[in-house]
Amino acid sequence: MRTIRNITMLAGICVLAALAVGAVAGAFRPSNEARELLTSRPWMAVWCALCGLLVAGFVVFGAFRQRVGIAAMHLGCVLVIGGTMWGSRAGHELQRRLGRDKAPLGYAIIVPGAGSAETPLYDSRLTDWPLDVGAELSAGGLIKRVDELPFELRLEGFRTDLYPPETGPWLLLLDMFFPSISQDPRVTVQAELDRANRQPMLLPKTDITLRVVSSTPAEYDGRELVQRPVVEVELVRGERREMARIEPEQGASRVGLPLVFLYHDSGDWFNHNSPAILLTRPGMDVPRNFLADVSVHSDGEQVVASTISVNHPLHYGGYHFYFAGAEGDHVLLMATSDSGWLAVWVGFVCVTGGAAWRLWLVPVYRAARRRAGRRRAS
Amino acid sequence: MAIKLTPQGWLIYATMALYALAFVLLAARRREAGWTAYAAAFAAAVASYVYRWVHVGHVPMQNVFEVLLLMGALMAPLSACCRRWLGVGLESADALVAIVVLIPAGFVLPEAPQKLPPALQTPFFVPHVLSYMLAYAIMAKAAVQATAQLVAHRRLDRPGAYERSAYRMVCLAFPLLTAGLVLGASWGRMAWTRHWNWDPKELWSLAAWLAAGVYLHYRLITRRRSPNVCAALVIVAMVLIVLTLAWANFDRRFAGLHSYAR
Repeated sequence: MRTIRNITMLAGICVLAALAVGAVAGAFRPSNEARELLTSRPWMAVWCALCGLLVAGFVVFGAFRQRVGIAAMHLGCVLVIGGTMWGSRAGHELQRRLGRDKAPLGYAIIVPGAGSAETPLYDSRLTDWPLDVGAELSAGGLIKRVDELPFELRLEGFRTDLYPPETGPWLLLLDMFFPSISQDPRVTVQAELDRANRQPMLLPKTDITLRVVSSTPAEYDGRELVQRPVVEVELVRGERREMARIEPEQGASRVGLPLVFLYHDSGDWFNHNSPAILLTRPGMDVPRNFLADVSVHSDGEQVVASTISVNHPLHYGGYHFYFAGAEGDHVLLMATSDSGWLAVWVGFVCVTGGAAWRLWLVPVYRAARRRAGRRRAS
Repeated sequence: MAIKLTPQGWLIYATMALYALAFVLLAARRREAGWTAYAAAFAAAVASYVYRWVHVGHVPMQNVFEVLLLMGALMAPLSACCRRWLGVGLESADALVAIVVLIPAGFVLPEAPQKLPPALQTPFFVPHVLSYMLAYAIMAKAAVQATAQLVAHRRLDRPGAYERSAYRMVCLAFPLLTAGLVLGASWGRMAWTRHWNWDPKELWSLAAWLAAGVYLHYRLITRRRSPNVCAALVIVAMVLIVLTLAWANFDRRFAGLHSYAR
């Protein structure tokens, strides 16, 4: 029996070491390649071997059965690995064969107002999501329908919660890109708005002068920004002059400057990459969170209403729904199946609780008993 | 490499100077004065951390600069507690570790405050980072003991004495490493849709956890007969932790979901 125990333990050490080496090898790759590597067949064999050894441990080691901490740690590892496998793509394929058809992952596009009784899920290849999904589907293009949820997801509202702006000066930022310059092709100029008012700026690597003609200061109601500043600038190159008004809108403070007009003789700048001017201040337009108010309707009745934000997904109907993007009045939600989710959570609690029990509480309890014994003896 | 001529910078340098003084005094076996310097270094480190907290307006655990400040503050009480309750010594080396930890914060890393991105606004944030930083500080102490085992094992009256100290430290750190990993995975499910995203930093931290697991199992199977191999395994785990904290955070080839921590 001792030989079997030693072989089991030695095999366990080898598997743990192999997984550590695999983790380091995976760390040198992008996450999608690391996933492919460490879930490939040879590595799946290693994960399964670990599970097998953990289960074998319960048979050959009495301590696994008798000591709560050790049992919890190892059982927790089995639950985490098993739960993760059950929730993986392969796990969903197995579920489908067993008659439980459910997409592991998909995207739902939701809009305000009532829609159809079902919510279609599109596949994960949808990265740059087009607004006209119907046209995209009929054209047989980028996206495919992977599942149909038997309830309706309705968007009640969407907002971006911004940090309050800081009290620093407004900055005039110029961001220029020179494709023909191989070394440091990007040039960024920054000037405080008040200072830019006083003297014209010569834009680096050009013979263009920028002068602020007039500026309307920002207005605040307490800490809230009511009116953004408006700036009129004059751009001069030789005999050519161009006036530009910079009036950033909420959430779109970057305004392109028409320097192409001044540079007919330059191959550097075209409309799409012409220099941009940015009127901003530190901490401006920094999002604190994205909040989508969503309701779930089934058979015409509202069953759940929730606000989905980063770190706060909605859990309903066997899926977790995450905020994934917004454009116009559309919000993109990512839906992931909750298969295996509970097993992983229970596994996490077992592993952590077991480790704390075995390595902290048991030694503290034993030390206290020893101390009490010494006290009694003396 | 630049000197920070700011209140934050001066507080970091004061902490480093006091840790250096504690190192010298403890190495010279002037224990009382050494512990006084240690206490002063802890006070300076706490002042530095509180200043940062007030300056940025949130718990300063967002980037490497802030977590190194935290680790610098943790080393002194950790050293004192380990001496008092676990009988683990080599406090002078702990002071040296604290100085090494604070060098990047004092001279290399930028101190510009950053807003917390949406993903970091969760109750998981503080326990996840705190578990890891405590675990890393304890593992650093374990690595010091393991190094002492490898360097001084022939001169010891009781062979394996330092390895036993290293084992106590690993036993203290392992549940924290586990909690850090588990809290991170749970948070990943909430923020990034999956428990495990195969991100480089996740994989480095998994490798460190597995290495600590290999050590605990190997020590059990050899029944403490190979203290030097065990000590070497502790050092391997610590090397992986250093790589997780330093290399994985700054090398661009490891860009991933944790890139905001730079």
